[in-house]
Order: sequence, then structure tokens, then C-alpha cells
Amino acid sequence: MGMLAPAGALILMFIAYPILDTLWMSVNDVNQFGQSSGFVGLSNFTDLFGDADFRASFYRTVVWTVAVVGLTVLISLPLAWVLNFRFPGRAVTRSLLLLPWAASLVITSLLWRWMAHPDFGAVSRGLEMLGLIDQRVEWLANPELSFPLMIWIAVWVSIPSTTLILLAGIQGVDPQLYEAAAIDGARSTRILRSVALPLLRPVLAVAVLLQVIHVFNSFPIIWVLTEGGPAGSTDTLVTYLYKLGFRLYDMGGAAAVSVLMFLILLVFAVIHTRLMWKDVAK
Amino acid sequence: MSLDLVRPHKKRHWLMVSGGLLLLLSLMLFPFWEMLATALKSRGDMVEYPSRWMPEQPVWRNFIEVWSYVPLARYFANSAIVALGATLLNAIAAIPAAFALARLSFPGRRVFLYFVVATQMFSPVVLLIAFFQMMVGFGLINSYWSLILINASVSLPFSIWLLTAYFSAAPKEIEEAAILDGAGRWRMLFTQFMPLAWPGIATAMTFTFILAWNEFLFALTLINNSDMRPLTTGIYAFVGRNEIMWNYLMTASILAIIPVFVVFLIIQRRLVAGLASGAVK
Repeated sequence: MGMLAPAGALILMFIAYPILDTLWMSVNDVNQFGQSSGFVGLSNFTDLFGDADFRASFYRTVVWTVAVVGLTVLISLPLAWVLNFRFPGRAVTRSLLLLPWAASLVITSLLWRWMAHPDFGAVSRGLEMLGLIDQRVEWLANPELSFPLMIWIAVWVSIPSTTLILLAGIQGVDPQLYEAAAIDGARSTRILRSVALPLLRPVLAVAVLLQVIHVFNSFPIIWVLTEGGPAGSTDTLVTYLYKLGFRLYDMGGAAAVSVLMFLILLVFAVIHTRLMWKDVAK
Repeated sequence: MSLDLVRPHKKRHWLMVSGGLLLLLSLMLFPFWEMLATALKSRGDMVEYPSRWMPEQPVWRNFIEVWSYVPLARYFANSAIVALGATLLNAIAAIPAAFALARLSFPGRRVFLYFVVATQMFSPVVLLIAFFQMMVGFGLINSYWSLILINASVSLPFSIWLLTAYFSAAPKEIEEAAILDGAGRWRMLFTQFMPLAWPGIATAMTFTFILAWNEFLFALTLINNSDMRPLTTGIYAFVGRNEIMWNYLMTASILAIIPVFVVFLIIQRRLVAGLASGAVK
């Protein structure tokens, strides 16, 4: 099939082969040049489980993913609902909302790193102005402050696309359904809950799945703000993987982290799909 | 629009809704205010304490000086080469593949489709280590090709998926007419189907372009020669200097955001449609 050849070649070479190679590396002792000094079975994996930093990173990644995706949906859904009404300035609002999305994650992360500066940063300045803090705060030196801040940044960059997907979903619902409910005298929030939400469920479900995959694997925010530090206290699995592979040159270990990350997402995707399908079947 | 019927009726509710919206919007947008304010600050303004929301004397000159402070033009060119190359390669691969999947029947078609869907689940991160090794083997570290290949490939499943939907939607008569004309598959694709599927092609290409333009992790790993850096890692390299010039960094950031933001504004509707189709299918 000549028509499939270019796509097939790219996918086989640059997606399928690296996946297989990763699997192979995860069960071998591999140096930084990718040369194996022998099959080691599952010892790369058992090494990981024995590492307290890995376990902490794993736990942190779960918190990170749940918090970011949860908060994003909680904020985006009402926002999409409101943006659906006609009001002066709606077009401008929608366009401005594209800004955090258009900027690349590195740039927004750098912007927030600057805003978190203890002396000249806008975060401290704003909170001081509101009277919420009255002393110098080292936002990035303390994981109890930096991690929630990074969660907010991830939510902040995720809101635009999520809101726009949900908005498209809301507008895709047959307007007559809304009308009927409105004529029945239902309040706006009721209509959102009992008419729009059930119809939005499939869109929401897949949006959440994609978002979970994306956030679980997100790298730039944490890398730019703290590099997972201080002392690994804000590492997620991706930054842990990156350090293992490119700072400690333990390619086998890094490959094992990749395999585990893939398996975790796979299990999540299967459970998620099962649950959603059960709901649809009901 | 009849949707207006569903908006809040009571004035009190309207006030609450618009108050909440304003609060959220200012939270969303104030970082960009800070970005602009910082970009317009002089060296002196940067170390003024307490710092200001806006410099007294905005220094627009920063937007010119930043080009000589870092090789910004070079970074722009690198990003453009990588993103355009990836988009082109992606289109060359995705368009015929999607056409074949949508309009032709052949053994293994379903398997290929499932494979495409499955690869969508893979995060590029998982490929990083193996892809890096491979590029070392090919001698493509610090080459545009490494970034073009990876960016074109990771966007490929999405492009194929999106375009297959567009090609499937075309009416059967077009195909029949083309066959009567004695047109081969490729001619049918070029003369009949591509013009019809143009909105889909444009969407897929825009997505590929933007993903490649904004990509960070692979650029960080595969490029360590500062002349070859794209904008993302080029701007990030500011941080490695002993004194971070945040005002220049923000100036460069604004310059980097503008092209993408303009594209987003132009294709706003299509962007959402593309995203939604990724979410729905």
C-alpha cells in the first residue's frame, strides 16, 4: 500500500520501535550510550520500588494529576456555561482566554517562576497588597508552597482548552432541549445540572481521559520552577525519569520508569472506559 | 439564539455570575499584565523595592535590544524550520494514509486503525530515552532532523484520525465519478478529496505546527548546541546565565507568543472543532 507507506514508516520507526526498545532497555543493564552489559530481569523495577524517592514521586504524581484535572474541570464547567450566554464583551473574553494556551508551557512556566520571586515577584506583591502576607516568602524553596503553586499553574494553563471543549459540547446540545426546560420554568443552574451535564458526559469523559494522560506526563512546569527540587521534594515521575536518564545516566532505570508510567496510564484508561461504558449502557 | 432563554433571570444572579467571571478572568489574565510590565522595565526598575505593577517610564527599547542580547532571530528561525518541517512531513504522511483508511478497503485496515488509536495513548515522554539513543546512533543530535522527525511522528496519529473522519464524510458519488473518469487513487485524492477536506487538513497542520513550535522536552534533550536551539529551550537558556535578565526574558516571551496567538485568533472556531473531534472520537 503505497499510500500508507510514509505514515507506516514513521510510526514503525519513531513510535513502535522506540516502545520496543524501551521495553528491552527496562530489563537490561544499559549504559548512557544504550549498550547493554547484560539481561538483568526485573531488577531495574525492583530497584525503583526500593527507592523511597521513586515511591514519593509516584505518590506526588497521583496527587498532582487528580488535583490538576479535578480543579480544571470544576472551574472550566461553570466558566463554559457562562461563556455560553450572550453578554457584552463575550467575544473579547473568549479570545483573551486563548492567551494562556497560545503561550508555550515553558514560557508560562518561566513567567510564573519570575512571579514567584520572593523580592520582586507579582505573587508576593499582590498578596501583600491584599494584606494576606506581611513577610518575605520563598515560594520555590519550600515544597509545601511550591507544589500547590505549580498545581495552580497547571490548572491555569489547562482551563482555556478544557473550557472551549466543554463550550463546544454545550453548544452542540439541541437548543430545543434547553428551551423546553426554560419554558418549564427551570432555573439556569438546574438546566445545567439536569439537561446539559448528562448530555455532556461523553465529551467530559474523553476530555478528562486526555487531560489525565497529558497532566500525568507534564514536564515543563515542574522542571522550570523547581527542577523537582529542593532535594527531589517536588519530583513527579517525569522529572524523576529525566534525572535518572540524563543526570545519573541510568538508562535502564529510566526505561523502567517509562514502562511503569505507560502501564499506570493503561490501567487508568481501561478502568475509566469500563466505568463510562457501564454508565452509557444504563 | 434561543440559548439566551436559559441565562439567569434574576438580577441578583446576574451580579453574582458577572462578579465571579470578572474575578476569574483577572486571575487568568493578570500574569500577562505582569509579563508586559516586566518586559517594559529598565535594569534599574528591576531591582526597585517594592516593585511596581507598571514601570514609570516604559522602556520599549527592550523589544529591540533583546535581539542582540540573545540570538533571538536564530531561535525564531530554528523554531520555524523545525515546526514547518514537522508540519510538512506530517501532512505528506497523514493525508494519503487517512485517505486510504477512509475510502479504500484492504487487508489489515482495521488493525492499522486500532494501532493509530493506541499510539495516541502513548505520551512522547515514554519514547524519550529510546528516541534519544536512536538519534545518537544516527548522529542526529543537534540536528533539525531529530526534532522534525519526532514532532511529525507524535502528531501523526491525531492527524490521521482527524483526516480519516473528514475523508469518510465525503459523498460516495465523488468517488464514483472519479472512477468513471478513470482516475487513479492519487489523482482522485489530489483533485477530488483534498479540496473537500481542506478545513480538516488545515486544522491538522495547525495543530502539528503549534505542538512542534511549543515542544520543550525533546528539544532540551536532543539539542545542546546553543546555535541550534529552538525558541523554547533558547528562552529557557536565559535561566542558565549567572544573572537572569527577567525583563529581556519577558520581552522575548512576548515576541514568541504573538505568532501563535494570532494564529489562534484566526482559526479560533476550527481550533475548538479540532479539539472537540479529538475528544469525541
